[in-house]
Amino acid sequence: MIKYFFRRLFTFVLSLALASIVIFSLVEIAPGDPASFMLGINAQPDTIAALRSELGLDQPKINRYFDWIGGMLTGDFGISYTYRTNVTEMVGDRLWVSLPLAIYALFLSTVIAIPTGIYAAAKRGKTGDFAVISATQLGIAIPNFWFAIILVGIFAIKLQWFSAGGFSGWKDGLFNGITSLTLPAIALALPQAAILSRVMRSALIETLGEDYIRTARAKGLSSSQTIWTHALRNALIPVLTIIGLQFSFLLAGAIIIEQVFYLPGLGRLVFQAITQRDLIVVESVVMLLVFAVILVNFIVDITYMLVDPRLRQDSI
Amino acid sequence: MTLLSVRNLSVAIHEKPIVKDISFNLGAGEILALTGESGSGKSISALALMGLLPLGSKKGGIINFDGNDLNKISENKFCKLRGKKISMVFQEPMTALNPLKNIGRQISETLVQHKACAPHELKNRVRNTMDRVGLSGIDPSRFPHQLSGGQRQRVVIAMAVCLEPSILIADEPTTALDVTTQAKILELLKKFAEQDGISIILITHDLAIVANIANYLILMKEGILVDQGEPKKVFRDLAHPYTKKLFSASSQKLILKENEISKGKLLEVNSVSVNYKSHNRGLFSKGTSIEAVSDVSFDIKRGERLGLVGESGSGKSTLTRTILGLQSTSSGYIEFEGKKISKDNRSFKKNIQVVFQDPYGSFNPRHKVERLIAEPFFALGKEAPHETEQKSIVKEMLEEVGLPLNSTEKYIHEFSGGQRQRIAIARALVIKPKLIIFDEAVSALDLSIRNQILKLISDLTERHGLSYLFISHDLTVIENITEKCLVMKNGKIVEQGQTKQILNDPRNEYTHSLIDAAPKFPEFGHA
Repeated sequence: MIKYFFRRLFTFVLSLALASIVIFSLVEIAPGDPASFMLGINAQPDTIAALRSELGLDQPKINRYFDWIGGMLTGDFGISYTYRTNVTEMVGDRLWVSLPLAIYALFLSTVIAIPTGIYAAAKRGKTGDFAVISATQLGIAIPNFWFAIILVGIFAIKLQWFSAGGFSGWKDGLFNGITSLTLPAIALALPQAAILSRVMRSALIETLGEDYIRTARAKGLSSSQTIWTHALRNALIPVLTIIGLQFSFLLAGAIIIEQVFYLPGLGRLVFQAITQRDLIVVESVVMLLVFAVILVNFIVDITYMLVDPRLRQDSI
Repeated sequence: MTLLSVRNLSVAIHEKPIVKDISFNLGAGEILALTGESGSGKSISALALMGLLPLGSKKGGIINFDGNDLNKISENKFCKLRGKKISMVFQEPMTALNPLKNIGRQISETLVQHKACAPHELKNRVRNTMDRVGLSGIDPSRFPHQLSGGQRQRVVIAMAVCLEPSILIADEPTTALDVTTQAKILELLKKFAEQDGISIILITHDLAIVANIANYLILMKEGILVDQGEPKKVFRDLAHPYTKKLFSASSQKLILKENEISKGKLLEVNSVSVNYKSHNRGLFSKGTSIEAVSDVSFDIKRGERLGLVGESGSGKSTLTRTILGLQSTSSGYIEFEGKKISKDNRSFKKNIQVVFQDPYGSFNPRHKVERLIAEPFFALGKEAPHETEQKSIVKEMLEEVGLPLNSTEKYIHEFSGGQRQRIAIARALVIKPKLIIFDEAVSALDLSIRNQILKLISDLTERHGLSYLFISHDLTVIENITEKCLVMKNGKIVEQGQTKQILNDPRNEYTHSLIDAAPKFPEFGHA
């Protein structure tokens, strides 16, 4: 068990190191010099050179890489080229929107998907199953920004239960913060829930065909008891994998939804930074997202171990 | 006293009749054997008795048990019977247990479900049941993957008998197990019937097992009950032609014609050992290694037919893989016609072919039979004959193995198990190899089909002067098809020599126990 943990931990660290090298190199290769971009097309070469040295861009690549990594590790992400402010603060502010939004959406998606998936599997081949399948088909087919617009139309404009957009921050209390994230979270969660529900359904149906389910039935368990006590935990492994992937997607992939609801999230920050060649912001945010993705996958791997005793044994 | 009375039971799955109108009685403490070849409907009959038929099935008739018609009672009521009054043991011990729960919890589940005892007694009841089924030394907190196949089957039996059911249905409970384990499990079942008065319905395809432990036998064929009675009487009279056919198939002896054996060695295995690194290698430690094959030496001359016997885990498969060059040796060497076999040198591939146990799994389902049989030609590379010639060779091979010529245009799923094995043999023969390895090649087949395939193998080797290595766990097969044999245990060869001599007068204790454990027919006094 301990070996499994450390092996995962080792891959976790190794993936981070590799990712940092890839991100750094990609940003280096990308065309466009931040200094000349900041000064405009009419800038003098010596002004550009002066700015380059001020920003540290004239240092050898290897030094800049380690400066960047060292800064990251101590929580110093550098200074934004365009805003001239601390990137750590910028990212931190945005993270307070994006992270709760992602967790909220993931929570909603799981809460919708798992029960519907189980219900469909229990009723496989019957009307209930058909209804869930049709609904999830719709959920996958409809783009989430369209959902978002419909939600705004109904709940913000017509019913006026929620605001149509913007985020007032967490200063006005937890409830206000959650309320302003509700519509975006629903819009994000629905398509994810549709996918997750299908994964839950098919994983459960596959598990229900296993021999040990028949054994459990032979012991006198009813078919719904076998689902709860035997099938569900076995079917959870593929579902966990998808939940891990979805969290990573929700954290960074919310850009369109952020746009629709005018939320100051990480997606918009990256988008703006890319258009403005603010490489230090791009690097930092992307690295942060990669960190989150790898961390979530690490946690999923550890959860596998808790679910499956075969992985707890060190010989595997 | 009649405990269970089945009248005109019939089952159809998706409108296709599987069990047709069968009737029988089961008395208390009786062992009733339900036998027949695959597809005879014996397992489906058992599932019908348990009320666990697959979705889309319909059943008819009356199953009278304890004053209830099991075909009519509600699902709720049936749940109260299952595990308590009627319980079942399944064929596949490897998959019959939930991998995520420890065995103690899985056994106690039956007790909890039927509220059989107070929570504080649970632990003791589980322990007692485990002791009863021969799991005395085993910790109930272990998980299924930490147990052997035989131990897992004992766990399944423990779950089934912990509430002292009236009826225990055992569906091929020993088919997936080694012979020595099989003998012990059968002994256990017999004890439950004799000492505890549990009636047992034993489903098996093995007539020798039936003859040895059943009080009553029912023989099914294509869903119809064809013969029944006390095994002694049924096997003595052989009144029904199908009974006679099956009986003679299981006691049939094949006469191997003598092959011309050359002096030179075709295959030489010289003190070969194969080590596996166990998977728990850390970052810095090398991990321990397991010796799967240990200092094995033997040779096969041209025209020789050699058998290899051993139970699961004896290293047979590893040895086969090594001979095929799929696994490298840790020490020692293997030579084919004087040239070393190794992972890199694959020219020997032209002269060695293999036929596996599962003919369905070893064919690509998306290719037609013509392409499947012609596959070994790819191994020849430039030496392969022209395409039109390949086609005519494929046809020739189909004829040799007794399949119609239009089979070339069909896909593998259109054939029965025996036909698939014929196709596998045709594929092995197509490039005229000098040596064929048969890896449990008839183990998955019904008895009558098995005999046909063995006959085919013997005819073909005679016609082509082939040599082969026949790997099997089944001594009767080895007896029929080989002249010399090796007995393998824990990676070592414990005995080798003439097959007849080894089987009649084994020197090694292990060989002795294997021969003893194999189910044999008692004498029935046939002329």
